[in-house]
Amino acid sequence: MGSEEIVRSLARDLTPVRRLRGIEWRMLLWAGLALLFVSIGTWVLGTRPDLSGKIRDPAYLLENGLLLLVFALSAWNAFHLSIPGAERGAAARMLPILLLLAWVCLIAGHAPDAMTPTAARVSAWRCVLKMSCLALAPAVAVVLMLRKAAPLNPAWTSGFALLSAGSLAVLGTRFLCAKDTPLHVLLWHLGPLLAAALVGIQLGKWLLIRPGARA
Amino acid sequence: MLDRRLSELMRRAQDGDRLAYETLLTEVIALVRGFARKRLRNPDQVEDVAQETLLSIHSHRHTYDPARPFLPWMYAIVRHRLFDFVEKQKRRGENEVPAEIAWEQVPAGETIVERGTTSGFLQQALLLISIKQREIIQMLKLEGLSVAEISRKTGISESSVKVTAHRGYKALRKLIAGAVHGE
Repeated sequence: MGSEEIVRSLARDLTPVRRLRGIEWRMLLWAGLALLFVSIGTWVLGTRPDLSGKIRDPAYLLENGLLLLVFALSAWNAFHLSIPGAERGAAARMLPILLLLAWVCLIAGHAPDAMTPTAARVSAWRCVLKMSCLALAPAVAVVLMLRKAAPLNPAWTSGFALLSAGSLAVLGTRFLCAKDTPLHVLLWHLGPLLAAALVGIQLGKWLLIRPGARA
Repeated sequence: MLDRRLSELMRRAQDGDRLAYETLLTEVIALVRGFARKRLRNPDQVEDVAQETLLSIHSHRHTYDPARPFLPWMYAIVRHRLFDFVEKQKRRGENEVPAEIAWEQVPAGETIVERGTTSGFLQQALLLISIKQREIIQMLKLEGLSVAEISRKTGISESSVKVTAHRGYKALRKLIAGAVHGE
């Protein structure tokens, strides 16, 4: 079959399609719903007892502000990567990763005497479970939304998508978990987030490319 | 100017205008060939990339936003298809066995003449083409399924089924020619 014949065949079989909404619209829709879900989830699971005091702590606010930026910029990257020609450069891709590194530095800068292995282990799996509950619905929603688009680089796209959903869950968990020790936060809050992003990168093709669809 | 015209044609195509779509794809294929020719020497490969790109543009046409320029959208797909094609060629190059040698690897160790039947000959040739091509040709020719039925069964678009089958026939012809030549 020659190319001209393919052109005629494709034109002959053409059916109207429903255009995908704009990138920003879809991203804001998802981000809004994810924020709403995590806020409700955090309230349902019960906030930390010292929250009223913590929200006046500038360091705590800065850390959470950084997580919020990681969430927003990762989502921005993921949604832009899902549309051909809308991808942004390497600098834009690096920004959420750099912000996450800045967050890690802030957490690691907490009082070193609090970094005891015992403190890190206590109730740690409960944090992972709560984080998974908070991340699940936003992660599923973002994957479904991105599958409708055409990610040409599914590994990066789903990596950023899961980083975004995961960082929002970590943010939610910071309102739930009263343990601020660096070892606990880095191991049990950051650890699962990095694992989710890596899973996203590894399974990107499987998660985002519909069977039979062309990447 | 070109971008605006192509963008308008795609907008109309998204609404189901077949004439606009044919015009658009005709213009697009010329651009794709030009782009691919700079990177590939073999005209057959240029044509393969052009066809793959057409199918990708067709299956992703819903993702084009008429508020954005058309050419960056199109060239992102072209670049991706070209990169994908080159990678596949590299992988194939590492594993590829020339037709004459490939026939020697066909099970049973019999020559074409000894086997003597056309069906046996084709069965062996089918083993040497890609799995996707083999499956589609088997469904089309052995199971007697229609293109539409295969498309439903595999989730691949009808156009893609036709192109894959066509590529399979081409590969079979090449193998048979190679084998006859080797005799």
